[in-house]
Amino acid sequence: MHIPDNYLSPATDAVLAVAMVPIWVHSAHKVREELDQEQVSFVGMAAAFSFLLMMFNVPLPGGTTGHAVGGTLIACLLGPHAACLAVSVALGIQALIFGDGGILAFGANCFNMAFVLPFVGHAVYQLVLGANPSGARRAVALFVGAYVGLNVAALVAAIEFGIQPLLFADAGGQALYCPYPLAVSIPAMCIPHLLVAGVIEGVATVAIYEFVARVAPDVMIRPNTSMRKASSLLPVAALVGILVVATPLGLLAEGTAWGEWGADEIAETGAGYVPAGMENGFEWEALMPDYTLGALPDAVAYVISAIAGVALLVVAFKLLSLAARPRGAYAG
Amino acid sequence: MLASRSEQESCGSRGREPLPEWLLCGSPYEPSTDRDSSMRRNVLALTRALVTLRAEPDPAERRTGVDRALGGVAPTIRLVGTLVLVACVSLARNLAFAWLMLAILLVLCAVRPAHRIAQIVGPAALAALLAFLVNMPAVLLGQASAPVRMTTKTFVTVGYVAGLAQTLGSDGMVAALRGLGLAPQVATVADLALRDIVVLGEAATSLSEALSLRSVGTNKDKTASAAGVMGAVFVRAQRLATARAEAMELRGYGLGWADARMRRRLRGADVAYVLAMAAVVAAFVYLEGAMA
Repeated sequence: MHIPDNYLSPATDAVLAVAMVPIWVHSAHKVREELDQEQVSFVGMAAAFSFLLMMFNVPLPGGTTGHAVGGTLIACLLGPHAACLAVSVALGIQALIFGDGGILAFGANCFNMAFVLPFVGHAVYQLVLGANPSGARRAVALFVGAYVGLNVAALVAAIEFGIQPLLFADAGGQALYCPYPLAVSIPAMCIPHLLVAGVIEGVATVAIYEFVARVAPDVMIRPNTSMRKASSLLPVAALVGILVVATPLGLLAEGTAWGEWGADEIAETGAGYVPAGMENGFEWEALMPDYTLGALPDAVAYVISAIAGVALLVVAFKLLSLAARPRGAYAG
Repeated sequence: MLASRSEQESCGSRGREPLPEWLLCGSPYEPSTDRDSSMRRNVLALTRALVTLRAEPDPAERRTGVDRALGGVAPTIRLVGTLVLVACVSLARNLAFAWLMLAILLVLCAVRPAHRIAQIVGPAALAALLAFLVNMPAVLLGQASAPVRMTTKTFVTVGYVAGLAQTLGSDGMVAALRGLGLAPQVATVADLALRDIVVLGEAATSLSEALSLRSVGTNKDKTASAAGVMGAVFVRAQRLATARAEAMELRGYGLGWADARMRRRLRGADVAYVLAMAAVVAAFVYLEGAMA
């Protein structure tokens, strides 16, 4: 779901980036209002879950790959506004350092994965949860919220892909950017997410939410009082460590995710030509392209990338927490 | 201050309010025109510098596992290790090693409290920004990767040095230098100077604040008194140095007292640290060799 550069027209990128600005500003205000220092600090850990989940690529029907995002997970733990910021920062690190997702398409990727996904997922979660939630109902709500959130985000991304040939074509009728119309992009994006990626997103969300609720309920935005006991972030950090070590499993899935091919690959995917906008488009030389690191074996480089990404997210949000109100201070 | 009788009479002739007439007279007072912002900034900067110098572990603050582990390593070994690491990062011809060290630096930062991270990342980010700006012209010469390489290397090296300075403190730094063969006289002078700087800084801060408050409304340009403050601090420094020298002489102190702190056996933490540094050097050799 990470849209690379040159798949969307610069105009589309600009519109979605501008649309994200008020969302980021509003989210920052709400986070400052709702979360204390410890919770803002924990947003970094939650963003690390999202970052790591996005590194676990799974094979999808059609020969492509996909991954979970964890947006609904963060939204349910810390609120949708914190999720918006957390996923945005994770996407920024992925784009800048690892070349995963475009620089120009950063706004579009944030719109899909940092705005649509957590807000829709959280709304569905609240709807299913109801007024008097039980443990089982909470688990169902988490699963359904995560599943729906990811699939709606995939649908929005598919629409962004699909409208490109309608809006941007040359005199000969060839698309300048993404060559696939809505009739192709929607089923190509939605079917694998409905069948596989959405299920993985739901399962991961339920499992990690229940784990955090059990070991560190105090850092959640509205801790479940029935589960309240002494919190410790050590088990959460240990889980992050286990996920980091396990990330090379994400390399087992061969193939590229749909809509993430390079300009040299797209002609072979059925398009038959390389769109002009992709051939002569913007190129960003990532610092660790595709999570590789010099001559290091791919699996080692993947783990080091995961460590660097997680540490960067934790450091960033710990520094941001200095601007948040201390625990117990007046929130108004 | 009350107005004179003649002033009251002149004021009274201008109004018929029931209030005492002298209350109606204006008493112009505009402290806002005082030019003391420079003085205030200097006092604040001085105070911040003193806080950094005096930064000792807060007993109430829980030390992280990393800090506890590093605290067990001899200061000299840590200083040498950091110098080796800085040399490796500086000599690296490709970015892979620098990225590896950056990842480790970020992990070491991530396990610390936020304000400790800020003390490491702040100077490193500032130095990196400066390196980026200095290297920007290289882009015009077709070396687009130079700013990125230099910025990364600067951030990593300054980050490790800042981390060392934060965890060792001034005492540990002097002990580390002493272990590297620094003359005991120099080590003692450095140790004493660090303590005197704090005392003198506090004196300068108090004097500056007193001057700033005392001269409100009477002296617009507070910075003119800076020379007076410096003079008073200089006299205080001279008195402190004389008193300390006399006290040490009376108690029979030589200048070899720092040696006592250096006599210690190699511990497990030292060995572990040396092994870790050997792994870093091995990674450097491997990555540089593989890329050659």
